[in-house]
Amino acid sequence: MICSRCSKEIPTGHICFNCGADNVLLQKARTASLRQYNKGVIFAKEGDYSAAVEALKECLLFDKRNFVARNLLGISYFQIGLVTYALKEWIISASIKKEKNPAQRYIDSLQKNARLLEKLSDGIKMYNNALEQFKQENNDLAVIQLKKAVDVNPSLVEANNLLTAYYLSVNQKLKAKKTIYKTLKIDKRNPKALEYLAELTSSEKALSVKSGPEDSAGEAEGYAENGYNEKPNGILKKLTSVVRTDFALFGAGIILTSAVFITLVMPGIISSEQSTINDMQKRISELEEENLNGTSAFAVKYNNLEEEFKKLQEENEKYQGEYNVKQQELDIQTAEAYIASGEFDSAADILYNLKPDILTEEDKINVENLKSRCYPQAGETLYDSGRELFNSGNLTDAKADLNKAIEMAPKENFSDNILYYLAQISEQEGDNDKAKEYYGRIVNEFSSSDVFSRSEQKLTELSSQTQ
Amino acid sequence: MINFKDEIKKYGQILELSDIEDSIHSTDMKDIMDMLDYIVSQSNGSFKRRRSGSDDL
Repeated sequence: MICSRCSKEIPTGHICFNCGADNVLLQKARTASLRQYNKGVIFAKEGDYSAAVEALKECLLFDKRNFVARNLLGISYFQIGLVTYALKEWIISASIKKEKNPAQRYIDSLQKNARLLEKLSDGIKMYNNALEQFKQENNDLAVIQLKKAVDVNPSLVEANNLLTAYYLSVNQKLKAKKTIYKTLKIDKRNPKALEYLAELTSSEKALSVKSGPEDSAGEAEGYAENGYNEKPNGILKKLTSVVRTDFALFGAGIILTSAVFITLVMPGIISSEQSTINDMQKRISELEEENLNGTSAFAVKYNNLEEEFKKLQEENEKYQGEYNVKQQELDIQTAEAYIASGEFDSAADILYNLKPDILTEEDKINVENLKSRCYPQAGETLYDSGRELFNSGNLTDAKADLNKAIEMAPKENFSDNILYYLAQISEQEGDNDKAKEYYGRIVNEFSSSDVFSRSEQKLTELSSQTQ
Repeated sequence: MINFKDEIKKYGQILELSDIEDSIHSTDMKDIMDMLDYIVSQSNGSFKRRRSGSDDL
Protein backbone atom coordinates (compact mmCIF):
# COMPACT_ATOMS: atom_id res chain seq x y z
CA MET A 1 0.00 0.00 0.00
CA ILE A 2 1.23 3.52 -0.82
CA CYS A 3 0.57 6.40 1.56
CA SER A 4 -1.87 8.93 0.04
CA ARG A 5 -0.14 11.80 1.77
CA CYS A 6 3.62 11.20 1.41
CA SER A 7 3.62 8.42 -1.25
CA LYS A 8 5.84 6.14 0.83
CA GLU A 9 5.36 2.38 1.03
CA ILE A 10 3.26 1.10 3.94
CA PRO A 11 4.35 -2.51 4.51
CA THR A 12 1.55 -3.49 6.90
CA GLY A 13 -1.67 -1.91 8.15
CA HIS A 14 -2.91 1.49 7.04
CA ILE A 15 -0.83 3.87 9.10
CA CYS A 16 2.18 5.36 7.36
CA PHE A 17 5.42 4.98 9.35
CA ASN A 18 6.91 7.91 7.52
CA CYS A 19 4.26 10.63 8.03
CA GLY A 20 1.98 8.88 10.50
CA ALA A 21 -1.14 9.34 8.36
CA ASP A 22 -4.00 6.93 8.83
CA ASN A 23 -4.76 6.12 5.17
CA VAL A 24 -8.28 4.86 5.89
CA LEU A 25 -9.16 8.14 7.56
CA LEU A 26 -7.33 10.05 4.85
CA GLN A 27 -9.42 8.32 2.19
CA LYS A 28 -12.63 9.07 4.09
CA ALA A 29 -11.64 12.71 4.48
CA ARG A 30 -10.98 12.98 0.76
CA THR A 31 -14.35 11.42 -0.06
CA ALA A 32 -16.07 13.89 2.26
CA SER A 33 -14.07 16.70 0.66
CA LEU A 34 -15.22 15.67 -2.82
CA ARG A 35 -18.83 15.48 -1.65
CA GLN A 36 -18.64 19.04 -0.36
CA TYR A 37 -16.87 20.16 -3.51
CA ASN A 38 -19.70 18.77 -5.64
CA LYS A 39 -22.21 20.63 -3.50
CA GLY A 40 -20.17 23.79 -3.94
CA VAL A 41 -20.17 23.34 -7.72
CA ILE A 42 -23.94 22.95 -7.78
CA PHE A 43 -24.47 26.05 -5.62
CA ALA A 44 -22.05 28.10 -7.70
CA LYS A 45 -23.77 27.04 -10.92
CA GLU A 46 -27.11 28.08 -9.44
CA GLY A 47 -25.70 31.49 -8.53
CA ASP A 48 -26.01 30.77 -4.81
CA TYR A 49 -22.49 31.93 -4.00
CA SER A 50 -22.91 32.22 -0.21
CA ALA A 51 -23.86 28.55 -0.02
CA ALA A 52 -21.05 27.69 -2.44
CA VAL A 53 -18.53 29.47 -0.20
CA GLU A 54 -19.72 27.53 2.85
CA ALA A 55 -19.63 24.18 1.05
CA LEU A 56 -16.18 24.83 -0.41
CA LYS A 57 -14.78 25.96 2.94
CA GLU A 58 -15.96 22.64 4.42
CA CYS A 59 -14.47 20.86 1.45
CA LEU A 60 -11.07 22.43 2.22
CA LEU A 61 -11.44 21.56 5.86
CA PHE A 62 -11.44 17.91 4.84
CA ASP A 63 -8.69 18.28 2.27
CA LYS A 64 -6.62 21.46 2.21
CA ARG A 65 -4.77 20.29 -0.91
CA ASN A 66 -7.90 20.28 -3.09
CA PHE A 67 -6.74 23.16 -5.27
CA VAL A 68 -9.70 22.87 -7.65
CA ALA A 69 -12.07 23.53 -4.75
CA ARG A 70 -9.89 26.40 -3.63
CA ASN A 71 -10.02 27.94 -7.09
CA LEU A 72 -13.79 27.69 -7.12
CA LEU A 73 -13.92 29.20 -3.66
CA GLY A 74 -11.93 32.13 -5.03
CA ILE A 75 -14.35 32.50 -7.93
CA SER A 76 -17.33 32.43 -5.56
CA TYR A 77 -15.74 35.12 -3.41
CA PHE A 78 -15.05 37.20 -6.50
CA GLN A 79 -18.69 36.93 -7.57
CA ILE A 80 -19.91 38.44 -4.32
CA GLY A 81 -17.39 41.27 -4.46
CA LEU A 82 -14.85 39.81 -2.03
CA VAL A 83 -11.95 40.17 -4.41
CA THR A 84 -9.30 40.10 -1.65
CA TYR A 85 -10.48 36.71 -0.34
CA ALA A 86 -10.60 35.47 -3.93
CA LEU A 87 -7.03 36.59 -4.50
CA LYS A 88 -5.92 34.96 -1.27
CA GLU A 89 -7.45 31.59 -2.21
CA TRP A 90 -5.91 31.71 -5.67
CA ILE A 91 -2.49 32.55 -4.23
CA ILE A 92 -2.69 29.58 -1.83
CA SER A 93 -3.95 27.34 -4.67
CA ALA A 94 -1.08 28.42 -6.91
CA SER A 95 1.39 27.63 -4.14
CA ILE A 96 -0.12 24.14 -3.63
CA LYS A 97 -0.09 23.28 -7.33
CA LYS A 98 2.29 25.23 -9.46
CA GLU A 99 1.67 23.67 -12.88
CA LYS A 100 -1.55 23.34 -14.83
CA ASN A 101 -3.44 25.41 -12.32
CA PRO A 102 -5.78 28.14 -13.61
CA ALA A 103 -5.34 30.05 -10.33
CA GLN A 104 -2.17 31.66 -11.69
CA ARG A 105 -4.13 32.82 -14.72
CA TYR A 106 -6.76 34.41 -12.45
CA ILE A 107 -4.07 36.22 -10.48
CA ASP A 108 -2.35 37.43 -13.67
CA SER A 109 -5.66 38.62 -15.03
CA LEU A 110 -6.31 40.70 -11.92
CA GLN A 111 -2.78 42.08 -11.96
CA LYS A 112 -3.18 43.10 -15.58
CA ASN A 113 -6.43 44.90 -14.68
CA ALA A 114 -4.78 46.90 -11.90
CA ARG A 115 -7.37 49.67 -12.11
CA LEU A 116 -10.22 47.24 -11.64
CA LEU A 117 -8.48 45.60 -8.72
CA GLU A 118 -7.86 48.99 -7.14
CA LYS A 119 -11.48 50.00 -7.66
CA LEU A 120 -12.83 46.80 -6.10
CA SER A 121 -10.37 47.13 -3.24
CA ASP A 122 -11.44 50.73 -2.66
CA GLY A 123 -15.02 49.52 -2.39
CA ILE A 124 -13.95 47.14 0.38
CA LYS A 125 -12.07 49.93 2.15
CA MET A 126 -15.12 52.18 2.01
CA TYR A 127 -17.30 49.38 3.38
CA ASN A 128 -14.89 48.88 6.29
CA ASN A 129 -14.92 52.64 6.95
CA ALA A 130 -18.69 52.71 6.81
CA LEU A 131 -18.92 49.87 9.27
CA GLU A 132 -16.69 51.78 11.67
CA GLN A 133 -18.78 54.92 11.20
CA PHE A 134 -21.94 52.99 11.97
CA LYS A 135 -20.37 51.61 15.11
CA GLN A 136 -19.55 55.19 16.14
CA GLU A 137 -23.13 56.10 15.27
CA ASN A 138 -22.10 58.48 12.50
CA ASN A 139 -24.83 57.04 10.39
CA ASP A 140 -24.99 59.80 7.77
CA LEU A 141 -21.29 59.56 6.99
CA ALA A 142 -21.52 55.79 7.03
CA VAL A 143 -24.35 55.74 4.52
CA ILE A 144 -22.39 58.05 2.20
CA GLN A 145 -19.36 55.75 2.42
CA LEU A 146 -21.51 52.68 1.92
CA LYS A 147 -23.21 54.12 -1.14
CA LYS A 148 -19.80 54.91 -2.60
CA ALA A 149 -18.62 51.38 -1.80
CA VAL A 150 -21.59 49.92 -3.69
CA ASP A 151 -20.92 52.33 -6.53
CA VAL A 152 -17.30 51.26 -7.07
CA ASN A 153 -17.83 47.60 -6.21
CA PRO A 154 -21.46 46.87 -7.15
CA SER A 155 -21.21 43.14 -6.48
CA LEU A 156 -20.11 43.64 -2.86
CA VAL A 157 -23.15 41.99 -1.28
CA GLU A 158 -22.05 42.69 2.29
CA ALA A 159 -22.19 46.44 1.58
CA ASN A 160 -25.65 46.05 0.05
CA ASN A 161 -26.81 44.03 3.03
CA LEU A 162 -25.50 46.59 5.49
CA LEU A 163 -27.24 49.33 3.57
CA THR A 164 -30.47 47.30 3.62
CA ALA A 165 -30.18 46.84 7.37
CA TYR A 166 -29.79 50.60 7.76
CA TYR A 167 -32.75 51.38 5.50
CA LEU A 168 -34.92 48.91 7.40
CA SER A 169 -33.89 50.46 10.71
CA VAL A 170 -34.95 53.91 9.51
CA ASN A 171 -38.12 52.52 7.90
CA GLN A 172 -37.09 53.34 4.31
CA LYS A 173 -38.76 50.24 2.96
CA LEU A 174 -38.67 51.05 -0.72
CA LYS A 175 -34.90 51.65 -0.64
CA ALA A 176 -34.48 48.51 1.46
CA LYS A 177 -36.47 46.55 -1.06
CA LYS A 178 -34.27 47.80 -3.93
CA THR A 179 -31.03 46.85 -2.21
CA ILE A 180 -32.43 43.42 -1.28
CA TYR A 181 -33.26 42.68 -4.91
CA LYS A 182 -29.89 43.97 -5.98
CA THR A 183 -28.22 41.57 -3.55
CA LEU A 184 -30.39 38.63 -4.58
CA LYS A 185 -29.60 39.34 -8.19
CA ILE A 186 -25.88 38.88 -7.41
CA ASP A 187 -26.21 36.12 -4.83
CA LYS A 188 -29.40 34.17 -5.43
CA ARG A 189 -30.02 32.96 -1.86
CA ASN A 190 -27.97 35.31 0.25
CA PRO A 191 -29.05 34.48 3.84
CA LYS A 192 -28.93 38.04 5.14
CA ALA A 193 -30.86 39.44 2.17
CA LEU A 194 -33.52 36.74 2.56
CA GLU A 195 -33.74 37.47 6.25
CA TYR A 196 -34.29 41.18 5.53
CA LEU A 197 -36.84 40.35 2.88
CA ALA A 198 -38.76 38.23 5.38
CA GLU A 199 -38.60 41.08 7.85
CA LEU A 200 -39.86 43.51 5.25
CA THR A 201 -42.68 41.20 4.15
CA SER A 202 -43.82 40.51 7.70
CA SER A 203 -43.85 44.22 8.54
CA GLU A 204 -45.87 44.90 5.39
CA LYS A 205 -48.32 42.18 6.32
CA ALA A 206 -48.74 43.66 9.76
CA LEU A 207 -49.29 47.06 8.20
CA SER A 208 -51.89 45.77 5.79
CA VAL A 209 -53.78 43.99 8.59
CA LYS A 210 -53.82 47.23 10.60
CA SER A 211 -54.76 49.47 7.69
CA GLY A 212 -57.30 47.14 6.12
CA PRO A 213 -57.47 45.97 2.51
CA GLU A 214 -57.77 49.42 0.90
CA ASP A 215 -54.74 50.94 2.58
CA SER A 216 -52.56 47.96 1.75
CA ALA A 217 -52.49 49.00 -1.89
CA GLY A 218 -49.68 51.49 -1.28
CA GLU A 219 -46.07 50.56 -0.83
CA ALA A 220 -47.00 47.04 0.24
CA GLU A 221 -48.30 46.42 -3.23
CA GLY A 222 -44.81 47.16 -4.49
CA TYR A 223 -43.48 44.11 -2.66
CA ALA A 224 -46.37 42.07 -3.95
CA GLU A 225 -44.92 42.57 -7.40
CA ASN A 226 -42.14 40.20 -6.56
CA GLY A 227 -44.26 37.36 -5.33
CA TYR A 228 -43.46 37.50 -1.64
CA ASN A 229 -46.89 38.76 -0.70
CA GLU A 230 -48.85 35.55 -0.44
CA LYS A 231 -52.30 37.10 -0.27
CA PRO A 232 -54.41 35.11 -2.78
CA ASN A 233 -56.49 38.09 -3.95
CA GLY A 234 -53.30 40.03 -4.76
CA ILE A 235 -52.10 37.58 -7.37
CA LEU A 236 -54.11 39.10 -10.20
CA LYS A 237 -52.93 42.59 -9.29
CA LYS A 238 -49.35 41.35 -9.11
CA LEU A 239 -49.54 39.77 -12.53
CA THR A 240 -51.27 42.75 -14.12
CA SER A 241 -48.74 45.15 -12.67
CA VAL A 242 -45.75 43.06 -13.73
CA VAL A 243 -47.12 42.44 -17.22
CA ARG A 244 -48.04 46.10 -17.65
CA THR A 245 -44.57 47.25 -16.63
CA ASP A 246 -42.91 44.69 -18.85
CA PHE A 247 -45.06 45.67 -21.81
CA ALA A 248 -44.33 49.34 -21.25
CA LEU A 249 -40.60 48.68 -21.12
CA PHE A 250 -40.80 46.40 -24.13
CA GLY A 251 -42.77 49.02 -26.07
CA ALA A 252 -40.33 51.74 -25.12
CA GLY A 253 -37.48 49.51 -26.23
CA ILE A 254 -39.08 48.91 -29.60
CA ILE A 255 -39.71 52.62 -30.15
CA LEU A 256 -36.16 53.50 -29.18
CA THR A 257 -34.68 50.79 -31.36
CA SER A 258 -36.87 51.85 -34.29
CA ALA A 259 -35.83 55.47 -33.85
CA VAL A 260 -32.14 54.53 -33.83
CA PHE A 261 -32.67 52.26 -36.82
CA ILE A 262 -34.53 54.92 -38.80
CA THR A 263 -32.11 57.74 -38.05
CA LEU A 264 -28.80 55.90 -38.18
CA VAL A 265 -29.12 52.63 -40.04
CA MET A 266 -31.89 53.24 -42.58
CA PRO A 267 -30.16 56.06 -44.52
CA GLY A 268 -27.15 53.83 -45.03
CA ILE A 269 -29.29 50.93 -46.18
CA ILE A 270 -31.40 53.16 -48.47
CA SER A 271 -28.31 54.70 -50.02
CA SER A 272 -26.76 51.29 -50.57
CA GLU A 273 -30.02 49.94 -52.08
CA GLN A 274 -30.34 53.03 -54.32
CA SER A 275 -26.82 52.52 -55.61
CA THR A 276 -27.60 48.87 -56.40
CA ILE A 277 -30.81 49.89 -58.20
CA ASN A 278 -28.92 52.48 -60.29
CA ASP A 279 -26.30 49.91 -61.27
CA MET A 280 -28.97 47.42 -62.25
CA GLN A 281 -30.89 50.01 -64.30
CA LYS A 282 -27.69 50.92 -66.11
CA ARG A 283 -27.01 47.29 -66.89
CA ILE A 284 -30.59 46.79 -68.16
CA SER A 285 -30.20 49.78 -70.51
CA GLU A 286 -26.95 48.35 -71.84
CA LEU A 287 -28.53 44.98 -72.44
CA GLU A 288 -31.57 46.55 -74.15
CA GLU A 289 -29.26 48.50 -76.46
CA GLU A 290 -27.26 45.40 -77.27
CA ASN A 291 -30.47 43.53 -78.04
CA LEU A 292 -31.65 46.29 -80.34
CA ASN A 293 -28.31 46.35 -82.16
CA GLY A 294 -28.15 42.59 -82.18
CA THR A 295 -24.75 42.72 -80.53
CA SER A 296 -25.64 41.07 -77.26
CA ALA A 297 -24.23 37.64 -76.62
CA PHE A 298 -27.72 36.21 -76.58
CA ALA A 299 -28.76 37.91 -79.84
CA VAL A 300 -25.62 36.71 -81.62
CA LYS A 301 -26.17 33.19 -80.38
CA TYR A 302 -29.85 33.33 -81.32
CA ASN A 303 -29.10 34.54 -84.87
CA ASN A 304 -26.50 31.82 -85.35
CA LEU A 305 -28.93 29.18 -84.20
CA GLU A 306 -31.66 30.53 -86.47
CA GLU A 307 -29.34 30.38 -89.46
CA GLU A 308 -28.30 26.88 -88.57
CA PHE A 309 -31.94 25.87 -88.20
CA LYS A 310 -32.78 27.30 -91.62
CA LYS A 311 -29.90 25.41 -93.22
CA LEU A 312 -31.03 22.18 -91.59
CA GLN A 313 -34.61 22.81 -92.68
CA GLU A 314 -33.47 23.35 -96.29
CA GLU A 315 -31.39 20.22 -96.19
CA ASN A 316 -34.29 18.31 -94.76
CA GLU A 317 -36.63 19.59 -97.47
CA LYS A 318 -34.08 18.65 -100.10
CA TYR A 319 -33.77 15.13 -98.75
CA GLN A 320 -37.55 14.88 -98.35
CA GLY A 321 -38.00 15.91 -102.02
CA GLU A 322 -35.47 13.35 -103.18
CA TYR A 323 -37.16 10.74 -101.03
CA ASN A 324 -40.59 11.60 -102.49
CA VAL A 325 -39.30 11.34 -106.05
CA LYS A 326 -37.81 7.92 -105.34
CA GLN A 327 -40.99 6.83 -103.52
CA GLN A 328 -43.17 7.88 -106.47
CA GLU A 329 -40.91 6.04 -108.90
CA LEU A 330 -41.38 3.00 -106.76
CA ASP A 331 -45.18 3.60 -106.62
CA ILE A 332 -45.36 3.80 -110.41
CA GLN A 333 -43.52 0.48 -110.68
CA THR A 334 -45.94 -1.02 -108.15
CA ALA A 335 -48.96 0.30 -110.07
CA GLU A 336 -47.55 -1.22 -113.26
CA ALA A 337 -47.22 -4.53 -111.46
CA TYR A 338 -50.84 -4.32 -110.20
CA ILE A 339 -52.13 -3.57 -113.69
CA ALA A 340 -50.16 -6.46 -115.05
CA SER A 341 -51.79 -8.77 -112.51
CA GLY A 342 -55.30 -7.31 -113.18
CA GLU A 343 -55.61 -5.55 -109.85
CA PHE A 344 -56.85 -2.29 -111.33
CA ASP A 345 -58.39 -0.85 -108.17
CA SER A 346 -55.08 -1.07 -106.24
CA ALA A 347 -53.13 0.35 -109.19
CA ALA A 348 -55.64 3.22 -109.57
CA ASP A 349 -55.44 3.98 -105.86
CA ILE A 350 -51.64 4.35 -106.07
CA LEU A 351 -51.77 6.44 -109.22
CA TYR A 352 -54.52 8.65 -107.83
CA ASN A 353 -52.35 9.64 -104.85
CA LEU A 354 -49.22 10.52 -106.85
CA LYS A 355 -48.05 14.15 -106.79
CA PRO A 356 -47.75 15.27 -110.43
CA ASP A 357 -45.56 18.33 -109.69
CA ILE A 358 -42.56 16.23 -108.73
CA LEU A 359 -42.89 13.86 -111.65
CA THR A 360 -40.56 14.12 -114.59
CA GLU A 361 -42.12 14.67 -117.99
CA GLU A 362 -41.35 11.14 -118.93
CA ASP A 363 -43.01 9.79 -115.79
CA LYS A 364 -46.01 12.02 -116.34
CA ILE A 365 -46.60 10.42 -119.75
CA ASN A 366 -46.10 6.98 -118.27
CA VAL A 367 -48.57 7.69 -115.43
CA GLU A 368 -51.22 8.97 -117.81
CA ASN A 369 -50.82 5.84 -119.86
CA LEU A 370 -51.21 3.64 -116.77
CA LYS A 371 -54.23 5.65 -115.59
CA SER A 372 -55.99 5.04 -118.89
CA ARG A 373 -55.41 1.36 -118.38
CA CYS A 374 -56.81 1.06 -114.85
CA TYR A 375 -58.99 4.08 -114.09
CA PRO A 376 -62.17 2.99 -116.01
CA GLN A 377 -62.28 -0.35 -114.15
CA ALA A 378 -61.47 1.28 -110.80
CA GLY A 379 -64.05 3.99 -111.54
CA GLU A 380 -66.72 1.36 -112.11
CA THR A 381 -65.85 -0.36 -108.85
CA LEU A 382 -66.14 2.97 -107.03
CA TYR A 383 -69.46 3.69 -108.82
CA ASP A 384 -70.86 0.35 -107.59
CA SER A 385 -69.65 1.06 -104.07
CA GLY A 386 -71.05 4.61 -104.16
CA ARG A 387 -74.39 3.48 -105.39
CA GLU A 388 -74.69 0.89 -102.65
CA LEU A 389 -73.76 3.44 -100.02
CA PHE A 390 -76.31 5.86 -101.49
CA ASN A 391 -79.03 3.21 -101.30
CA SER A 392 -78.11 2.44 -97.69
CA GLY A 393 -78.45 6.15 -96.86
CA ASN A 394 -74.73 6.81 -96.23
CA LEU A 395 -74.58 9.89 -98.41
CA THR A 396 -71.19 11.17 -97.15
CA ASP A 397 -69.19 8.06 -98.10
CA ALA A 398 -71.29 7.61 -101.22
CA LYS A 399 -70.43 11.15 -102.33
CA ALA A 400 -66.68 10.54 -101.75
CA ASP A 401 -66.68 7.32 -103.78
CA LEU A 402 -68.79 8.78 -106.58
CA ASN A 403 -66.63 11.91 -106.85
CA LYS A 404 -63.55 9.76 -107.13
CA ALA A 405 -65.36 7.52 -109.63
CA ILE A 406 -66.35 10.41 -111.95
CA GLU A 407 -62.80 11.73 -111.75
CA MET A 408 -61.39 8.36 -112.81
CA ALA A 409 -64.07 7.55 -115.35
CA PRO A 410 -65.58 10.76 -116.76
CA LYS A 411 -66.54 9.47 -120.17
CA GLU A 412 -67.60 5.88 -119.56
CA ASN A 413 -71.01 4.40 -120.25
CA PHE A 414 -71.88 4.52 -116.52
CA SER A 415 -70.56 8.02 -115.99
CA ASP A 416 -74.02 9.57 -116.55
CA ASN A 417 -75.34 7.45 -113.68
CA ILE A 418 -72.51 8.60 -111.45
CA LEU A 419 -73.45 12.20 -112.22
CA TYR A 420 -77.09 11.48 -111.61
CA TYR A 421 -76.34 10.05 -108.15
CA LEU A 422 -74.13 12.98 -107.33
CA ALA A 423 -76.94 15.37 -108.41
CA GLN A 424 -79.38 13.50 -106.18
CA ILE A 425 -76.99 13.78 -103.23
CA SER A 426 -76.47 17.50 -103.83
CA GLU A 427 -80.23 17.99 -104.03
CA GLN A 428 -80.70 16.17 -100.78
CA GLU A 429 -77.99 18.29 -99.25
CA GLY A 430 -79.87 21.39 -100.52
CA ASP A 431 -77.06 22.38 -102.87
CA ASN A 432 -79.28 23.00 -105.90
CA ASP A 433 -76.56 24.80 -107.88
CA LYS A 434 -74.32 21.78 -107.66
CA ALA A 435 -77.26 19.50 -108.50
CA LYS A 436 -78.06 21.68 -111.57
CA GLU A 437 -74.38 21.41 -112.59
CA TYR A 438 -74.53 17.61 -112.49
CA TYR A 439 -77.90 17.45 -114.26
CA GLY A 440 -76.57 19.90 -116.84
CA ARG A 441 -73.55 17.75 -117.52
CA ILE A 442 -75.81 14.73 -118.16
CA VAL A 443 -78.00 16.78 -120.53
CA ASN A 444 -74.98 18.23 -122.35
CA GLU A 445 -72.62 15.26 -122.40
CA PHE A 446 -74.85 12.18 -122.37
CA SER A 447 -77.74 12.78 -124.78
CA SER A 448 -78.39 9.05 -125.15
CA SER A 449 -78.45 8.42 -121.40
CA ASP A 450 -81.38 6.63 -119.82
CA VAL A 451 -81.53 9.39 -117.21
CA PHE A 452 -81.37 12.19 -119.79
CA SER A 453 -85.09 13.10 -119.78
CA ARG A 454 -85.30 12.92 -115.95
CA SER A 455 -82.19 15.04 -115.71
CA GLU A 456 -83.63 17.54 -118.14
CA GLN A 457 -86.87 17.66 -116.16
CA LYS A 458 -84.96 18.16 -112.88
CA LEU A 459 -82.89 20.87 -114.43
CA THR A 460 -86.03 22.72 -115.50
CA GLU A 461 -87.61 22.27 -112.05
CA LEU A 462 -84.55 23.49 -110.23
CA SER A 463 -84.07 26.40 -112.62
CA SER A 464 -87.69 27.47 -112.14
CA GLN A 465 -87.27 27.22 -108.34
CA THR A 466 -84.30 29.55 -108.40
CA GLN A 467 -86.13 32.02 -110.61
CA MET B 1 -38.38 46.13 12.84
CA ILE B 2 -34.71 45.27 13.22
CA ASN B 3 -32.39 46.64 15.84
CA PHE B 4 -29.59 48.20 13.86
CA LYS B 5 -27.12 48.25 16.72
CA ASP B 6 -27.50 44.50 17.14
CA GLU B 7 -27.55 44.01 13.40
CA ILE B 8 -24.17 45.65 12.72
CA LYS B 9 -22.61 43.19 15.15
CA LYS B 10 -23.25 40.52 12.50
CA TYR B 11 -20.99 42.39 10.11
CA GLY B 12 -17.26 42.24 10.16
CA GLN B 13 -14.32 43.94 8.49
CA ILE B 14 -13.43 42.59 5.06
CA LEU B 15 -9.85 41.68 4.23
CA GLU B 16 -8.14 44.54 2.42
CA LEU B 17 -5.70 44.24 -0.42
CA SER B 18 -2.75 45.40 1.65
CA ASP B 19 -3.44 42.75 4.28
CA ILE B 20 -3.55 39.72 2.00
CA GLU B 21 0.13 38.84 2.48
CA ASP B 22 -0.11 38.94 6.26
CA SER B 23 -3.31 36.98 6.23
CA ILE B 24 -1.69 34.24 4.19
CA HIS B 25 1.35 34.01 6.42
CA SER B 26 -0.79 33.99 9.50
CA THR B 27 -3.27 31.54 8.11
CA ASP B 28 -3.11 28.20 9.73
CA MET B 29 -3.71 26.06 6.71
CA LYS B 30 -4.93 23.00 8.45
CA ASP B 31 -7.37 20.35 7.47
CA ILE B 32 -9.01 17.57 9.45
CA MET B 33 -6.02 15.28 9.02
CA ASP B 34 -3.68 17.89 10.48
CA MET B 35 -6.06 18.24 13.40
CA LEU B 36 -6.15 14.48 13.89
CA ASP B 37 -2.36 14.39 13.74
CA TYR B 38 -2.28 17.15 16.31
CA ILE B 39 -4.76 15.30 18.56
CA VAL B 40 -2.80 12.07 18.17
CA SER B 41 0.50 13.84 18.90
CA GLN B 42 -1.06 15.54 21.90
CA SER B 43 -2.49 12.28 23.28
CA ASN B 44 0.85 10.53 22.70
CA GLY B 45 2.54 13.33 24.62
CA SER B 46 0.17 13.03 27.54
CA PHE B 47 0.51 9.25 27.37
CA LYS B 48 4.28 9.61 27.42
CA ARG B 49 3.99 12.13 30.23
CA ARG B 50 1.67 9.77 32.12
CA ARG B 51 4.02 6.87 31.46
CA SER B 52 7.06 8.87 32.49
CA GLY B 53 5.13 9.94 35.62
CA SER B 54 4.36 6.33 36.52
CA ASP B 55 7.96 5.45 35.85
CA ASP B 56 8.90 8.09 38.33
CA LEU B 57 6.64 6.39 40.75
